[in-house]
Amino acid sequence: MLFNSFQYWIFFLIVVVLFYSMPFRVGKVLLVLASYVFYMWWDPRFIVLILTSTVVDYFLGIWLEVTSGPRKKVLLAISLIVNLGLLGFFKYYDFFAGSLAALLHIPKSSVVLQIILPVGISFYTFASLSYTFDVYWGKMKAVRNFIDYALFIAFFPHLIAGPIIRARQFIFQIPRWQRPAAIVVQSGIILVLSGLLKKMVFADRFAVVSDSYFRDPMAHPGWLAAWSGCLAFFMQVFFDFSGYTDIARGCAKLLGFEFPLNFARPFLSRNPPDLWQRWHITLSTWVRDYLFMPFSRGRKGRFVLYRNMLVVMVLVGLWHGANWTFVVWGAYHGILLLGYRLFDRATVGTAIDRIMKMRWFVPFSVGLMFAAFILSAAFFRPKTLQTSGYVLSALFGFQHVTGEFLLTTGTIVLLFISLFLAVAQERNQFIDRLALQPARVQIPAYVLAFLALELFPATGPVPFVYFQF
Amino acid sequence: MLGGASEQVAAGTEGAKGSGASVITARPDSVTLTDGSGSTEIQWDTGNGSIGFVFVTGTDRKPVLFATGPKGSQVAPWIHSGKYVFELYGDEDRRTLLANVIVTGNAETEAAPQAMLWRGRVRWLLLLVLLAIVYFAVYLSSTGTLRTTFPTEPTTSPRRLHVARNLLLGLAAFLCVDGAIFHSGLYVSILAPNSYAGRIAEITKAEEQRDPSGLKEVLVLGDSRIAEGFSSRLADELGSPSGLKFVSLAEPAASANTWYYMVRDVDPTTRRYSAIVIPYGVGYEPNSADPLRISMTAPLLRYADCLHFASGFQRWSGRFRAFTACILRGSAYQDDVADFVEHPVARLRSIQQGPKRTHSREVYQGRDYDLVGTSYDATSGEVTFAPKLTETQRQAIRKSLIQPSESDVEYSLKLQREWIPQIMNRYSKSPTAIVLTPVPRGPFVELPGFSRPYHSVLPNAITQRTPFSLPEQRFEFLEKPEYYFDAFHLNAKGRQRFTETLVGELVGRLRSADTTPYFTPESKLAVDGPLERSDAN
Repeated sequence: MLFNSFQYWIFFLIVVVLFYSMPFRVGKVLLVLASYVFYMWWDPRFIVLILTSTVVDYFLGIWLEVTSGPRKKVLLAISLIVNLGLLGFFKYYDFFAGSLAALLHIPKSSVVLQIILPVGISFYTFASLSYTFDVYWGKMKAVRNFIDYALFIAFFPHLIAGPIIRARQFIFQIPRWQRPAAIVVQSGIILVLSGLLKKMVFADRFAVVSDSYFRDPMAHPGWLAAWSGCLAFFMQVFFDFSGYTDIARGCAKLLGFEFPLNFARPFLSRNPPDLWQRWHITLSTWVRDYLFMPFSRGRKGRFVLYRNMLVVMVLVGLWHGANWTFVVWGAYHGILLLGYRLFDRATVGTAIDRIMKMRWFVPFSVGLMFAAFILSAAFFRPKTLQTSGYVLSALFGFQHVTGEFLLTTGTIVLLFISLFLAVAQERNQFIDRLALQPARVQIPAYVLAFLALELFPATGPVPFVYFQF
Repeated sequence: MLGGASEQVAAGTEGAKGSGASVITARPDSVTLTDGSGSTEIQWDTGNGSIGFVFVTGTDRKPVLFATGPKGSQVAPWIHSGKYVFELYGDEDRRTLLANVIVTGNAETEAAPQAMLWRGRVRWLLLLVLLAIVYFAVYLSSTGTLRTTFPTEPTTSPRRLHVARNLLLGLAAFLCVDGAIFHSGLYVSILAPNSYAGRIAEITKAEEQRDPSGLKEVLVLGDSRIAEGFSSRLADELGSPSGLKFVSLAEPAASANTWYYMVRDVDPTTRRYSAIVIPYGVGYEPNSADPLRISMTAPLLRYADCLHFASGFQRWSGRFRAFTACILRGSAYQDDVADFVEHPVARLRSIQQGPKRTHSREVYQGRDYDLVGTSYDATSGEVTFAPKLTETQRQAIRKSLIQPSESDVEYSLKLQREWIPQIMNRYSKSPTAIVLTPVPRGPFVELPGFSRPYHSVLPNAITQRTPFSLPEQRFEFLEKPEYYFDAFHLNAKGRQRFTETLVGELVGRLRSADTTPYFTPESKLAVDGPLERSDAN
């Protein structure tokens, strides 16, 4: 059941009507059941994984709260083993076993199990782990109501592709739930429409260009083809994923819940740390709070810090998929972060630093960061490092061919539309403020949105890119 | 394939395309030469996915193959002073001319180098302007300091909000805008003439606006098999001594449901034609072609057709799409709108070539190669080609031999069984005679499903409702390789024989209608002479 399918909206409508027609106490049970139905729509077998993770962490959370000393660590370890074990087995077993087999010259088929990746496993595993860690560190009390905990893990708007919800952000909303105010409903509708537009009009149209390039990069030699293909790919990924997040956040709002922001105009980032404050925010902050900080806290020495930064970014890459290309992608971003940090330290207080902070220089920083990010598509999209190498050589002009410009007039127009909307949103929350506008603004905006959705979806329902993660 | 699934149409209707939708354009067609040479971009489209061959003939030179492919564009950077004729053919041997364009190379004038210089400057200027726009946009978005927090959506409003009202008003306004653009005929007039929808809209409108001939008019419906197999021009020549005028609305990929709506539009009073010829036979209709069927029928639909049209689809997704297309017509033209937005100038130029298309459709004579010496083994799927066939012809034949699934064949039959009776019902109280004619099955009747008897396609209960049904075996003599150019479509020779036979049958039957007792007084009137269009309306 894709967010951009008619099926989903029928399902959502039924859930909304039923949810508001019953007391919240019963309504949240309905939400849990609806979430399980939503998940089982893909593959009913994998509901067992969610239930296992939910039951284990629910009881471990309670025990963690009442336990102290070494036993607490054991309980945490059990939670980690169960959650990361499931994730590791389903997502990474084939990858590591295959890589090991290649290293030892053993036939790959003898070790690889061809495991099907359960959809959304990376997202709900991280959500579940955030709860265990928070209870372990005493940052929150264990949840006593099983339905509340099950709702946190399985709530359908975030279940498949995030945003990665933390227990602290969500669970406290349950006892304080109240019918959403008109402005919240309005915001929810606008988010849903904006998400659908991002996915169906923008992402799927850029997908046509990026697919045509990455299906066979060798058929499109030259730096111009490579840059336009990579640009189209990251525009696709951004609109696809942020569109999904917008729909998820919008649906949550319509049911009276709040999800955190996941994207904040990432293509306006000025430097690598800024990029990770704006791109997949819930993942980068999760990794920062539950991985980087605990391992770096109290450790002396810049080298350790930089090493941790690099390792964390490699893990972020690996989180996206079980492939060496993702590992290199993560390492590339780690190096960017590290390089920027070294550069920043070296230039602090100098004329370069002063120039870089000037407003007129900002567009140049943004352009440079944008190009560096686009470049990373060479690792993110290809299936093999060999293809990545080919794309890189094309990007750097080593093929001595210009190549064809793959972007169509339509996608160029979309690029400029998205630039202006991003600028307007960055300056004064233009899109968010639509919810506050009078009818004479809202009605034409609705008409334009409906017309765009009617006329310009690139194809039929296309799965969201981040489902594979 | 009576219904005309997209794959097969693409595979085997090179000629059908030639009957009215192939385009070749040159940009510019008048080339200003710099240093004695210049360039132009040639764009071509056979319109139905079949391979086209672009030949160029310079002044006093022999034709040279310039490009091949179903559609595409290629730059000719060697234009010199003089005239060049670019011709798009359906075959390598230059026998089937689909379209042409003339390019002239004009000697350099004083102003030309300057114009070129300006063009180059304008391109760079445009790039600079775009970069400046991006620069200022990003500049405006920044405040100088880095943002570390991002505000979320507002949670309070200073005034009362009307969420549902605004949403519903927005929805209503959207429906009105969609209706004004897509239901009013405004957009139909700029549909891509090469698209299925564009062709259906064009030929239906042309037929609606055609003045009465004063003869007994016979309308022939059909898909690509009839578009290839029936020549209305030849039929007119043969039928005019008997006072018959033939009109063909056969279009590749058109199914029985599309025919129903076409007939409804061109004959609102059900009294315009003396006879309507409806072909039937084994074909295949993949479910995946539902969007195609919907978009090509869309120009003919009205709001009230929602349930009726949607009910003709097998799957719920198809029904839903069809239902939506009736209300939100724009949704049926998504690809067309996107194409128009991307290439508005090319579209307008293409629309202006309407009369040319009509003419080439009229003079189309069919493919001139056959399948003699070509054999097909249905069990192994192996094809042995006659040596005379070119590679492109072989490819087209191979494509047409893709075996349809049983469900695709069944779907085609279902459409015929449901919609042909509906056309017949429409004319049940009309003087117009409905003529059901079997379609020859092709040279390879061993294709799955194609050997089944005709009465399993349309039950006798249906065929016996009209006294004009042609015998099932009437066209069996055509099911030979010499009359076909692929697995389904008649070639020029087959086209001639099919047309002659059909006209012969019709002339005989319509003439005998004067004396046979099963004719109603209305039908006699129609056969004796058609009503004037003004009367009919």
